[in-house]
Amino acid sequence: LTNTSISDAQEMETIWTILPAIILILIALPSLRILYLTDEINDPSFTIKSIGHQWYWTYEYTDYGGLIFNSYMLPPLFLEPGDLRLLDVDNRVVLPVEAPVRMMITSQDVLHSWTVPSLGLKTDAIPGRLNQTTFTATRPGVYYGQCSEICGANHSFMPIVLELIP
Amino acid sequence: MAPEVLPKPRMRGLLARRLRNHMAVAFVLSLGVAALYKFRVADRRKKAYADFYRNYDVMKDFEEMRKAGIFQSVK
Repeated sequence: LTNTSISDAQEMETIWTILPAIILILIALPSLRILYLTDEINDPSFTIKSIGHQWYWTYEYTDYGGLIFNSYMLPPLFLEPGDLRLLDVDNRVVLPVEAPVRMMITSQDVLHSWTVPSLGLKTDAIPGRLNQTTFTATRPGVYYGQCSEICGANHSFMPIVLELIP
Repeated sequence: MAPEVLPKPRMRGLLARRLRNHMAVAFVLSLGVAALYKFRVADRRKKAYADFYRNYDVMKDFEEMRKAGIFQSVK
């Protein structure tokens, strides 16, 4: 399809510039509204801090008492039958089901990322910055995740395990 | 046998007419696909979740898992 006698098509040009711009604005405004809404009203019943290190996670439960522990991947030699290689850890993060939980995530050294895909969670752990994510789990169980920001030699060997208990 | 002669196409404004027709069809088609997706995919998915959680027993699920021995914090 060729238009050999090219001539002014000012109306067409105007329409197909303005109309897509309007459509994009109509898509963007509710989208931004929803984005900010998801950040707001949460009222978490529980806050846990998660600090990324090379190459393990530290969890701090400071709401009720001061429980702080490290969570290292179980080395292959320490695995028992039924354990998952490269996923299981020595100390799991125990959390309540059906309660909004707030995770405050940061890093001690380089960039890491705290991820639990089956709960739809991924938050970067950035040194000098505190990132926040909230979630409410609806089903009990054991949930696995792995560090999702390249952080050195053992980046693939610092998993995250959550135990959700009613 | 005389060969069939096609009617001469209306050359003037061919591109504009084509564009107009295509835009109308695209608009209607996109509305249709969006509606189809909403009813056949999105609403069905929401209903599936609602049906699952309507009679979901957290404690029963938890007890089955606990007996299977997957938890470290409760035995």
